[in-house]
Amino acid sequence: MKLSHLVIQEISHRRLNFLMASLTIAVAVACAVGVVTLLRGYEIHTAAQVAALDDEIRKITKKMGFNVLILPRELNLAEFFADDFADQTMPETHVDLLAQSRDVMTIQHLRPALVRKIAWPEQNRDIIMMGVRGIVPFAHRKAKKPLADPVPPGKIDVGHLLARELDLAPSSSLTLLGESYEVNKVYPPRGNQDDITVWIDLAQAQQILGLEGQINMIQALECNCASIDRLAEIESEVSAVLGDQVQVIELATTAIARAQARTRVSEAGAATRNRVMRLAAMLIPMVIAGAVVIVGLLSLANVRQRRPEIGILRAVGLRSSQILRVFLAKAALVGVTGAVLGYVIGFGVAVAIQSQWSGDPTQQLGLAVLFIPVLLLTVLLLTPLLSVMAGWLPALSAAAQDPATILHEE
Amino acid sequence: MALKLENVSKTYTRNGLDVLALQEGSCSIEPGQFIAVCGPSGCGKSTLLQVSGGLMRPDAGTVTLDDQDIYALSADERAGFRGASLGFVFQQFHLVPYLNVLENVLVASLALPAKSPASQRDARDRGLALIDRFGLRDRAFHRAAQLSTGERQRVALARALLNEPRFILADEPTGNLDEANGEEVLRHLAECAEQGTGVLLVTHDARAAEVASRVVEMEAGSIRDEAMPWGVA
Repeated sequence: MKLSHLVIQEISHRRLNFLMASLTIAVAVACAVGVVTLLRGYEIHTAAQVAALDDEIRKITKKMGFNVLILPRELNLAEFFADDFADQTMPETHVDLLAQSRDVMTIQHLRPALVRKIAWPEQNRDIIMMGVRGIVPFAHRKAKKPLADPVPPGKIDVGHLLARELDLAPSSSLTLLGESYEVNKVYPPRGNQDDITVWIDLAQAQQILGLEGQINMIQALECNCASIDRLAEIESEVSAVLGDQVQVIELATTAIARAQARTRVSEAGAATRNRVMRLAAMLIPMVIAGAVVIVGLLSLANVRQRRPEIGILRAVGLRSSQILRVFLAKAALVGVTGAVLGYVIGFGVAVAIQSQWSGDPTQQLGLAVLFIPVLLLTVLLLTPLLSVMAGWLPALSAAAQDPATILHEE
Repeated sequence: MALKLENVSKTYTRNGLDVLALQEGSCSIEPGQFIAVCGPSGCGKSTLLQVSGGLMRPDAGTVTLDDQDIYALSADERAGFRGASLGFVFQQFHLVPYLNVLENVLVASLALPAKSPASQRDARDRGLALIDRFGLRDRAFHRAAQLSTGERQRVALARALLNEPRFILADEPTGNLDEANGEEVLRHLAECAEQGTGVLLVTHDARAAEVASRVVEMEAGSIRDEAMPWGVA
């Protein structure tokens, strides 16, 4: 006969006690396993959702492109930002050099312009005049649909506010600085300087301003960059062609907004995950501590119930260490049973709940994805250990029982 | 080879009052002797038995086996000594409720060191032989609750004898038995003594005198008379 036989027989005899203790452990383990497994599923789902959202934002904002301005090197940016156009000019040939270069890969569209704030004596007001040439095609690339059409000579495009105040419409005519123009387009309201801007042919603008062959900006539109430092990448390509005669600044904030939107989505996903993790980090120890206390109390009750047996075992010669082993072995078995039972329940429930999260069966996570080997190993090793710890004091109390006192009481 | 008590005293505190259970008592028992300790309830008989068996440390005096003071041993060494040298029989039988008859007998073998000659190897054989000897063969796989009181006491006796102890310490073993079963238990104890096991029997049972080789009478914690057979005056 071995001590293990005594342990097994006692468990078989007092099934309810064993079952209660095992179930207590199982509930705690199930909670821990369930939460961790659900968190894993949640994390995978969230990561997928964030990735999908990020992709959506990328696609939606892709058309906004990443737009930059190529400006004369000597231009004072502070003045540029104050006036919204550059006083300094640069040769119009810059744009042709860029268009013919094979090294410029990131820029999709080039649009040279000459912009000035001018007085419109016929209307007695100041306006922005922009001479444009349309999109300059890249010599070595397949032709693309231009982002902006050129303004034919003798025609003029008019911003919304000017058109409204001067009652202008396509095909109507106007006089600007003594020259007659037919209105080509009237732009819808944009809520910026465009609303008081007129666009004419670049050559005509150069002639009016006495700046033949000069421009003061090149709009580089819809740039696609592989690196994070997009501006530096574009600047590097432009500098390779034009040297240090120009400077590159970002035209619009849409690219930043796009990047920020994607970052926010990613951060929001991480923050939600962290909140759930923090909740789990508090919840799981509390549940386990509760289970340890309950198992300890059940062990204590078991020791009290078994006092006569302890007395007789001690009387027939069993050492205190043997009594200790009997109780600790039972605690370990309670732990193993609770761990296995709890893991199965926790994992099963978590898988079931997870499958409810995603109604689309194709998006349901497989068992292999949710299964965490380290978690199983931890549960199987740690739970019996915790159970033994919970039963330690009651077992010590059992081992310290005085057989004479017990037998006298009995 | 004798189990000796010399000037042993033991005082309990019960309900705040000191109760002198054993007063400088001395006696000894040799293997093969059958000593019956008789006396009224509360005279200290059970205390004498428990002190003799290493279960209760006396306040004064010594208990020796082969000149070894058993209370000089640690608690676990004393447990080992009990397992190897002593067998206990109690009035309430004290069987383990979830074990069957054979297992209850074999539980005593857990006290033996693993490499003891009388170790686990042949414990089962000895257990079965004892069950046969006490007429419990057909009850071997019944639990305690399924046995009669007489059968339970015979199981307790078999358990006490499993490790082939040198002494049996029996505390009122016939107290809960009818006349026939009581006589049978006494007869078995007498057989043990005849086979060389010392028997120290604490009892009210007048029939013990008929089987005991010596009767010791106790009163108020004192061992009064070691020589006079009890009941023969």
